[in-house]
Amino acid sequence: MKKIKIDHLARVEGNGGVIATIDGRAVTDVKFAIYEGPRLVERLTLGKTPEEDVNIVPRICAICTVSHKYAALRAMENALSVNVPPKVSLFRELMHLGEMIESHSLHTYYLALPDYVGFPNAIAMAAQFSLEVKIALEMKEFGNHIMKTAAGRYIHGENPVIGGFGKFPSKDELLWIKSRAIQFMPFVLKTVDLFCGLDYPLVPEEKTMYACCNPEKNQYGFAGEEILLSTGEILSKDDYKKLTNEFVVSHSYAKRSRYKGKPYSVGALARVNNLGERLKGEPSLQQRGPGAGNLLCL
Amino acid sequence: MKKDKLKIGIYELTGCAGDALLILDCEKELVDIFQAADIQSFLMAKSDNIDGELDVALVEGSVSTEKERKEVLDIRKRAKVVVAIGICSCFGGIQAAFLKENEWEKNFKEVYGKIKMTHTKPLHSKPIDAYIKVDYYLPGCPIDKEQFLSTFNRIIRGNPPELYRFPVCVECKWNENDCLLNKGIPCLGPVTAAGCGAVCINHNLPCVGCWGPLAEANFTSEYHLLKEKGFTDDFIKKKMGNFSGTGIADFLGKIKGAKR
Repeated sequence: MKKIKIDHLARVEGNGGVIATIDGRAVTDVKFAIYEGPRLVERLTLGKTPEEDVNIVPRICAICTVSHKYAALRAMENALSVNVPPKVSLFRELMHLGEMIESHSLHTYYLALPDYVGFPNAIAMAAQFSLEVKIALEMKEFGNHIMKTAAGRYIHGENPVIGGFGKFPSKDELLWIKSRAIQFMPFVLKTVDLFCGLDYPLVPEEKTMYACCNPEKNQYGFAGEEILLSTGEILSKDDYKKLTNEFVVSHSYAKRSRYKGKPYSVGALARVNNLGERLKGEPSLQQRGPGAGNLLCL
Repeated sequence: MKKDKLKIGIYELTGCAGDALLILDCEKELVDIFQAADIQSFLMAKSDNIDGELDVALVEGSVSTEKERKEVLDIRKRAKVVVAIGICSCFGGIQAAFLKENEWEKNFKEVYGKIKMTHTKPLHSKPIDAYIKVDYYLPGCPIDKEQFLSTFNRIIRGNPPELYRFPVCVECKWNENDCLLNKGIPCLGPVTAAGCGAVCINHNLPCVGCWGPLAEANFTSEYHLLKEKGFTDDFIKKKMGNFSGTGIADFLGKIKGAKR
């Protein structure tokens, strides 16, 4: 019996570690532990006004602060029967795309790529990939700029509120964002090629179950009234507790959830696997390769 | 040349990692930051981390487990200067809103049940200065880029940072915004530490107090002003406490004429 223990996983958000137990050639147990302490957000939101809850919950996570804000706003508006006009929905989509551009630029180039090309960090990686590091930083800044314009600031912007926004961006700001997005397209396509060309270790694993929101009108997107599973099942959002049936394990402060007793995966990879056929434009599925999931969401 | 650079460690305890992320969000300055200082430890950004002697430790997050308590004591031993970055580190953050130990314990049980944690014991969330001496405080939720860069610049030259000693209201007036309190909107600008540039009021929204309380602020005046506008004692105190963590405890007792 051999144990591999990693106390601190590096280049990820938050504090986590892994303990793997190996018996001969078989991995018999893997424990993923979140060392970060309990925050009790479930309880902090009780007895507050809906507005205050929408202020508090994005603080769960800084990288995906806008996602938390977006989800909290949709939940509150659903509970309070508030309908938002299409203009508001579009601006919310914009702020969320800003987060995706920032977060995926960060994850692909700064958190993940150094491992594949053998550097301790992205700045050191610049010795070999100077242009990529420079443009990826610019693209990350562009994502942050969109969030600042639409959500109020880079992290924990308060501009999105129940029913709409405190202030809408000007037309000039929007046109600037559009022209900048077009400028980045060649780099995005190069990024897809770069990541598709990397050597990925073959990991024999059980088939993963993926879950993501099912956007309306057969669109690719992030929000929807239903949850689509890679098994083909569709759940109404009102049945969310079938998926988020949280339970506690003794080696982690992050709670777990299972669907019909099995683990499932969410996020970019789930969206690409479940909704990938709906992607349009140049970075479509023809160029898809292993690990390109994050990139395709750009 | 590398040995002449200040050795800096950036650490994350319990929180959203927003202050560490904000450092990575200094996209234009990031290469310079890594060149100007010898970044010994920064888990979010690099994998070759060393836990040795440090000139400066920047610590984000609140102490919420036994492991983090030991870690923060160790950081203090190794670092000449400790800077608390972000409101979780400065005041305990949102997770320190349960001020009383028994109230925290009750809520912990509601979330985690009776399970006994095997990896590290949970602690009532507290700011880092509950356990160690802190040299400088840089508040914010998250910290502000300009304020971080100016603080970082001064620290790597061995100078103390110049922090704002005035409330959000001052920045709001610089921006010539209309006062939301005059319109009856509950804004915490008069009692909240400045540095955000009054960003919420710039967007026609009230300050939620996410930079934590300003020591010099007049909480009594804000409390009575909000009462006059028709808000209840319970509402006002909850609002003041949402982001202030343990920082609010001193002030709630000091409000003259409020219910105890």
